Amino acid sequence: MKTILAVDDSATMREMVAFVLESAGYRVIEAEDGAQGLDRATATPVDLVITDQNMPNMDGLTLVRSLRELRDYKSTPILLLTTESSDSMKQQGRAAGATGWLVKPFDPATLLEVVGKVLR
Amino acid sequence: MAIDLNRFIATFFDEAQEHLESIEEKAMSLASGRHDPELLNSIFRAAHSIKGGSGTFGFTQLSEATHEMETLFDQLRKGQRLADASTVRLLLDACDVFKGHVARLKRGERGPDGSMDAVRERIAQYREKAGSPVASPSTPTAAAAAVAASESFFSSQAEGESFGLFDEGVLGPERASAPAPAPAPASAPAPAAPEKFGFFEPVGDSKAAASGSGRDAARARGAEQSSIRVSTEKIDRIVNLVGELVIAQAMMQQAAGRFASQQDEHLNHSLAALDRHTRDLQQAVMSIRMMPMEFVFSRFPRLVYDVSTRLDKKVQLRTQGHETELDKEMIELLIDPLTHVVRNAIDHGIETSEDRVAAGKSESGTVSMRATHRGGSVIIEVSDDGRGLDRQRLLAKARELGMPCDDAWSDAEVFALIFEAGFSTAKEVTDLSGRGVGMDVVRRNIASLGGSVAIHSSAGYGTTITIQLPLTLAVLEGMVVSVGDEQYIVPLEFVAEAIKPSAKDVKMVANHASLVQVRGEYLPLIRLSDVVEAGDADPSKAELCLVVEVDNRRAALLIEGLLGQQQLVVKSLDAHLHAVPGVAGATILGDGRVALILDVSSIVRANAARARIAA
Repeated sequence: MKTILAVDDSATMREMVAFVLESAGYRVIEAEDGAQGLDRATATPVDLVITDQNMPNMDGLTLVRSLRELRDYKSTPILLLTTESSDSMKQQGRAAGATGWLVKPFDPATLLEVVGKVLR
Repeated sequence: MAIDLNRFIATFFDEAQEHLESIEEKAMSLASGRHDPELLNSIFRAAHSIKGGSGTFGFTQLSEATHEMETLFDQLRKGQRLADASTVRLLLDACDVFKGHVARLKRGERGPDGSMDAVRERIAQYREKAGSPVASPSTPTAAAAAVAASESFFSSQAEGESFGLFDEGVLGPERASAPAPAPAPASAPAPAAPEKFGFFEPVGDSKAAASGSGRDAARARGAEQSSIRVSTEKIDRIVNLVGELVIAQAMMQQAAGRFASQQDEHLNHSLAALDRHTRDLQQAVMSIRMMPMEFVFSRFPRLVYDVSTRLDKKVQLRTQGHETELDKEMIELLIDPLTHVVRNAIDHGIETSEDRVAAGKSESGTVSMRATHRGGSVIIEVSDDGRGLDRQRLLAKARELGMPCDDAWSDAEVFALIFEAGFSTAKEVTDLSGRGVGMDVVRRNIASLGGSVAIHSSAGYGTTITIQLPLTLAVLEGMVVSVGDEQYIVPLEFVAEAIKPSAKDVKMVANHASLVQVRGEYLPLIRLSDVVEAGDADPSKAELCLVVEVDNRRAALLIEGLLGQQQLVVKSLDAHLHAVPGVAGATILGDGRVALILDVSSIVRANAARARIAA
């Protein structure tokens, strides 16, 4: 069973992501901000990280960069949850080392589709 | 796959409420004129989270209005404009409207809310007035419009793609026209339309962390769930049941004591264990209802801000003891009296900046709120560094109103005048502190919670109001005393000591009133038989005194018998009878009899008032 780390400071978002993924048979670990996400990812190896961008303590892009510096996370897929799909977001996301992006609000089908793609 | 996300609406409401409170709290520190990027960013984040969540659930008006707020904060955090008092006002007003709207949504009212349109328009106009070059138009944005287009939980997907991978060659819906083995449904290239997702690199080849992953996931997940939400009704039901259990246990103990006290050691052992566990259970259950004072304190920055700006005074609020815990019911009932006390402190206590500077004080005044535990009580202090109470003015006012008063009274007695009904010395009645209907109501409210209020003041230096409350309303540690055939309860928090005065210690003074000497101090003697009008009381039997202390005032309560100390389950009388003066509630004793809990505070006060009239 694949394990996914969901990082978002909004409990609503976190719980929804977790719920959708869990009902599709994934295991989900949650974290409230980038710093906690990094801790969780270091403690438990995960197959995919889905992270929000703007969070207290450590933002999403910093989390992506920090994860990419870890040996275990060199090639683990990381998705950015974002409210905009602007070019600057894409540039920043790509530069940080993210695998892809997903606009919120998202619908469950899209989330599962993207997750299915990157975990294949 | 049909996944119902309705279940997350409650989480969203809770979260929106928290975010609005945090915006409100943080907004008040914006007017300082400093550019504080972290503060601005955290408000931006809060507005952003509400927008995201409300968009998800199709709460269009909320998502549009928070979008306006978010855009405003984006300008602020980028330093394109500075926040000032008018920004704060706007944000606070907006938070009020948002809170009202969230409350409506929570009640299930999903119809259009006119006040939301108005506030969105107001924020938009405010934003444009600054003439910021980067301000986006005030019409609902693409994101909000997308939300508006769909009554379902999620925005319409018709406008474009919702995700993407950053790899151009394999999956990226951005430039490649679906060459991927498993193309995204929305992979038709639409460069101008907003995309919903994308990929930065090749996907489908992520073996790296796959092996052995998720081993500890289940365990980690289990560890995370350290709390659950439970409705208060359920908890109250448990509290009531445990209360009944305590009574039943006491009854059993008493019954067993009559029959088998010495003979059956085994029974005594079991009863002692039952007693211990019942107490532990009761304490554990009560602790579920405890909440930190934070819930009370968090409301006050806003109040202080509103009242002080309205009165054009400079006031700082300091709070201490946020973690001090108190019964949830108490917390809720405390808010009104404390609001009144704080309002009063700013309105009547703190001087204007000019007056303060003239008096050699700092320009801005300080109101401090402190909460601490002391014994079985919670002490809440509200102090200000304002002008303090004016003894002469209070006395003059009391005379004018025809209230009994005397120049010889101690400061404490004179200051206590402000708690009398109809007493107000404010030179002009302001719409904030009202017409002197305040402090007497405060005292009554606190007394109804089983607590007391005291006041200390020093002219020129400020005033401190001290509120003492029991930890919980549901149980009470009390002394069981007897007069005639009846038993009464004196709450332990008021009892200083029990003494047996000799006849020569008791001095009769005028009008049937007596004083008793306790270690050199003369205390008014209150006969409990008079208070409860016990016809069958035998004066010769009354030879014990409980020294009680309330609102800085000591008195001796003359009783016949002292039957012991006991933990009692409080039953409200108000629910069944109207309020009885001198009685705070009732309880059921171990023998099944009902005993009245004495309202010591009002008994002592009534006695002092009688003594004054007699003098």
